[in-house]
Amino acid sequence: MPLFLFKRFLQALLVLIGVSFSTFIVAHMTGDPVELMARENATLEDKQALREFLGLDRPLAEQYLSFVGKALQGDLGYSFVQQAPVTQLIAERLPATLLLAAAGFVLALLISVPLGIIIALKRNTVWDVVVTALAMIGQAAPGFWIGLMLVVLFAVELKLLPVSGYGGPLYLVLPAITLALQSAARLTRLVRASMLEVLNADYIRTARSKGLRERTILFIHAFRGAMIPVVTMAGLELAELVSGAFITETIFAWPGVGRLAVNAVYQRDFPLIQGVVLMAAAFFVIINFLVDVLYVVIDPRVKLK
Amino acid sequence: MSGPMLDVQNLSVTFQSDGGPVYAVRDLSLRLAPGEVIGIVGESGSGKSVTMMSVLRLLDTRRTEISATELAVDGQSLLGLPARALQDLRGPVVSYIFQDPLTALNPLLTVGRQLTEGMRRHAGLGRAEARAKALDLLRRVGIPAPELRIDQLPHQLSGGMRQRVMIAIALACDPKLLIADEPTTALDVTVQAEIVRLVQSIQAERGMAMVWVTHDLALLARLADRVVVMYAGRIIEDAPARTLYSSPAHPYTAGLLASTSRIDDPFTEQTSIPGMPPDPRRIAPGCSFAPRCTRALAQCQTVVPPLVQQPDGRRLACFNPLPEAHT
Ligand SMILES: Nc1ncnc2c1ncn2[C@@H]1O[C@H](COP(=O)(O)OP(=O)(O)OP(=O)(O)O)[C@@H](O)[C@H]1O
Ligand SMILES: [Mg+2]
Repeated sequence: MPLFLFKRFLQALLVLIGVSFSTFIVAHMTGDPVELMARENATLEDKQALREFLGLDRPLAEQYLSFVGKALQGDLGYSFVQQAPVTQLIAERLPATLLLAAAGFVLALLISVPLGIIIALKRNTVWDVVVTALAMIGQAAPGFWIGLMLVVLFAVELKLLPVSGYGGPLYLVLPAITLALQSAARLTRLVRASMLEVLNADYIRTARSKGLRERTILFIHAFRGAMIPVVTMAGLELAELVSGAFITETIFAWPGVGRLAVNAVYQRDFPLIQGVVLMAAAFFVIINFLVDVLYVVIDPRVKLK
Repeated sequence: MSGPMLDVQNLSVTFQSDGGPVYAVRDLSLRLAPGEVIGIVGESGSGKSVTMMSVLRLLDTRRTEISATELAVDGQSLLGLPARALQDLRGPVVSYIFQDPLTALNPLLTVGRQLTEGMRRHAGLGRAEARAKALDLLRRVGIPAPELRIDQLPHQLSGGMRQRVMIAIALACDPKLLIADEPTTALDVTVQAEIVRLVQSIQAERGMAMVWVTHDLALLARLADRVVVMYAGRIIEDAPARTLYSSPAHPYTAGLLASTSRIDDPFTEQTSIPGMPPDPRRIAPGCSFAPRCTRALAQCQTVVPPLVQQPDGRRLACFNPLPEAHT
């Protein structure tokens, strides 16, 4: 492993420790779960017993260390509310979330990369102006609003697609589009800007001076360089699609981790909150690390750094 | 004897910028015989690069107006030539060496790839043939351990080596005309001299025509058959090198020479002509050099002096040239 990647790996580890610590602290500051869980007529002694049973009477540092120690063994604790191991709860919901995020991500890339390249090549034409304007609107419009508008149009009015729920491929269409549009808007603008910058580079002029075909210039000389900033951004987008699926999952009643997390917050289900946030953070860190690996593949100059 | 290698007649290039039109090249005519080496000098912004880029239409055509009554390379007119036919000329007929080897090479492609792609496109060479020829070229331009260098990326090479690679790329398709646009400006002084010698020897061995663009008149003295002096988008003097150095006719040429020949202080070139070159966006009537010229006449302020062929073989655009020129 190149030194560059090793450093990034250590950084990722540090981030995870930081995240686990802060979620632990934040979760404990939101209130006492015992008050929520105990029966209405529970005595102080009953509550104290419950607290001891849950291990909440121990010093915070000890609670944290035991949380981390177990997490490393793949045990994220036990949900008080749902009466099930956190890992099991997450594992049940994860496939739905990953399916939605993957569909949204692929869609975002399929839209943004070709569109960004085309409008870069047709810069300052009507096409460029229209697409750029649409991208700006798409970027500015809130995700839930786009989702609701899509539902109104395609599900309620045209009755082409289901309003919400989880089932066959048709159920995936609207949530995936909702999730993809903002990413696609951001990425399209980035691809355009990056492509324009590369096309203006001196080495593109050199390539032209050799009499290469335009498509060779575009795909061999320009595309790869233009994708370097896009890869970084796309990695962040993917992480955001996974973690940002909360709203979309809620709108479309999509049984993913997002909805699990929202409910956990309402119920002050500490172990579940911690587990979900830690998982989302781990995902984020892993994606970032993969982006760095991809970087080394695309841009050979990185290897030496 | 065949016709000219390069024939440019009445070339004008105007950019539409946000601050108004930029008149970068104005009514420029230039011929180059096969095998001839000319130097083009002029201050920064005088239109040297733009002129040379327009030859094979390397300028971004958006917001650019290019007009000419003739633009021909090796007997083939480029006016109205379709893009595909133009591509066939880039490389095998005319090739370029650019100023900055740091930015002129693609940072993500190996030396070998950048060196062979032109040959493979134009000469239809296979991978192995092209590689063998690339190694020969790298050897010819003086790159040590070419077998190692060929698979490296530009950032693994020093500036001087990168420029040698650039030269090898320019030579890859055996061009008939090589255009070198300030190929040494970005390099160390010691490396500059080596690069100049290298290009000079290759030119002599192949007998190709060459245009060498530079700020440095002293350099051209040993390199060029003919020197073309540009000022504010126009040619103001074009003379055989020996004539130009011994008796410059245009006051601007004389000023340039006076500033370059101070060997004791090689770093303050061109500072001895007082004043600044004109803004290419604002075109005054008359000779563009008149505001800085000690010999300017009333006529110079209102009429553009035409570039006229002189009996001694030079072309000159001046109403009041230096007297020595006519002795
Ligand atoms: N794409 C462009 N858009 C607008 N103006 C331009 C463009 N390219 C060149 N110019 C202008 O045209 C004029 C001539 O530029 P050119 O690059 O030919 O000068 P030069 O003689 O090569 O100078 P240097 O010695 O600095 O290379 C300059 O004023 C420059 O600012
Ligand atoms: Mg220039």
